[in-house]
Amino acid sequence: MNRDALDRLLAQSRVSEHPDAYWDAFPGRVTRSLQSDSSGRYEPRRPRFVIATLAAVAGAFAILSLSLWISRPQPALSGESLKDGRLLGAMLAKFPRRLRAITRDNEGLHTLVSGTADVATSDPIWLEIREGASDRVIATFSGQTISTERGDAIVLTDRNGHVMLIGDAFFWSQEVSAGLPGSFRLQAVPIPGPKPITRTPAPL
Amino acid sequence: MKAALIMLITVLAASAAADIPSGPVRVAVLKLKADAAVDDYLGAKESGSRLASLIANDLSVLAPIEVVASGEVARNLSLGAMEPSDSLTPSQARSAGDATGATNLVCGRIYRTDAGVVFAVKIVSTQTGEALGTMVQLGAGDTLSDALSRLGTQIGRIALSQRGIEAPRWADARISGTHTGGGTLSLGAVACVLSVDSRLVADEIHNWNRDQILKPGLHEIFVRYYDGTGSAGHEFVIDAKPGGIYETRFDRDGDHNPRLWIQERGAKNPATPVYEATIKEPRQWYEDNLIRMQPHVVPMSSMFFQPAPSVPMKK
Repeated sequence: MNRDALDRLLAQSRVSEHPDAYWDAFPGRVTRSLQSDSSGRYEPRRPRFVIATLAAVAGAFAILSLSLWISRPQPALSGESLKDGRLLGAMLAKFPRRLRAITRDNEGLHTLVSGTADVATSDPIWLEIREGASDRVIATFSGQTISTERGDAIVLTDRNGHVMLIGDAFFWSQEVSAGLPGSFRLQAVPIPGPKPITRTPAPL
Repeated sequence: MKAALIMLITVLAASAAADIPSGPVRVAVLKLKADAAVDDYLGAKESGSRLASLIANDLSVLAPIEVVASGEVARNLSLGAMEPSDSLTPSQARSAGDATGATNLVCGRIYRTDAGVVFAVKIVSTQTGEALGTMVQLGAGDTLSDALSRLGTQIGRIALSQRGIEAPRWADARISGTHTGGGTLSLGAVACVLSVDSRLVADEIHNWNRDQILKPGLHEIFVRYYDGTGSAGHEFVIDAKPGGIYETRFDRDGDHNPRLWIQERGAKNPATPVYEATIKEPRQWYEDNLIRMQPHVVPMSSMFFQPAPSVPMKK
């Protein structure tokens, strides 16, 4: 386009029409726009975004670390917390009258929960069973059945510190056992807990 | 956190204890399971049902426990629900209690071991479904009567604890002989304890007044009468009450056979039937009763296996 053609085009073009109010407000819009550009130039957004992001990541990491610390599969959780009843108590609170047993084996922790609230409240018991290569730790209650390679057996305590297993094919107690192979090793103790309330019988 | 969990367990246990009902303690003993090896050791067929009867009898003397007739229980209870190695739910336990009138059900199994046999039992509260257990061993040097008495006492303590009752102290009973006449040179006539559960008393004639210890429950007492020239005797079965003091008694008219029995001191009536024993020359009498003086595991008296006294069933 040469100069003459450009002059003709400009001569034919019309200025857009706006109300007076538009032009009255126009300077203010320009000023605000400039101020906005100016602030963007002197206080850039990127550092604030990075700080916020880093803070959020740090917070999430802290929360994750805390939750991992609480629920970590540390030796105390799988061993002592089963033996002293802490884990059993926590799970019992979650599944009242439904919790049958918690087992730790080579594959981790397993919780056996009844589908209905039909588990009798009874004395808690800790057992460690070694059968060949299998090694299990079980926290359960007197009156519950456990499975072994020699068949099922019921775990019972006499409320006087003694634990026994009564099975169809075998018997085990601290003092004597019957029907068990030499490769079967078992330890069992009652988990300490409160004694039941008793009353003295009325004289006859 | 640990303190909170312990507190939680305490609260749960306390709520369970608060559920413990009061009232009489009625125990039903079901037939124990036993295999042929156990029968062989005990020298008795169907030893499981026999021994359940003996345990029930021993429990019946332990106040305040009452015993429900086991035969009635078996007729009213699904036996599958009372397998010793199976768990019972609280609702199943309550159903069993409703069917039998028992507050506690006892079932178990007898195992043959290298040293003898083990009696292992499960005690289930029919109110709560709580299951506890206990066991005793019968081995060399022990008697069946003492082993079953220990088992009965242990069952009784657990049954009472399941009802929230502290078991009383069930003391051993005692038995000794009686004596009449005699002087410086002669002993007179004496009725003494020759053996308790096949355990011979040493020099029984001269030790006629020495107490023999009886654990609560059934015992075989062989009573010997001796007057210096002749002997007579009979084996009695007594259900010894805790703390009871028993005496072997006799009377004799002239040359007639002596009559023997056992009586609790201070009681008006005999604790056993009165038996007229044939008087014999001492050596002949010993030979006739030699088999009674051999150690035996299972009591030889058929009276030993009489059904236990029981309370009526709840209808």
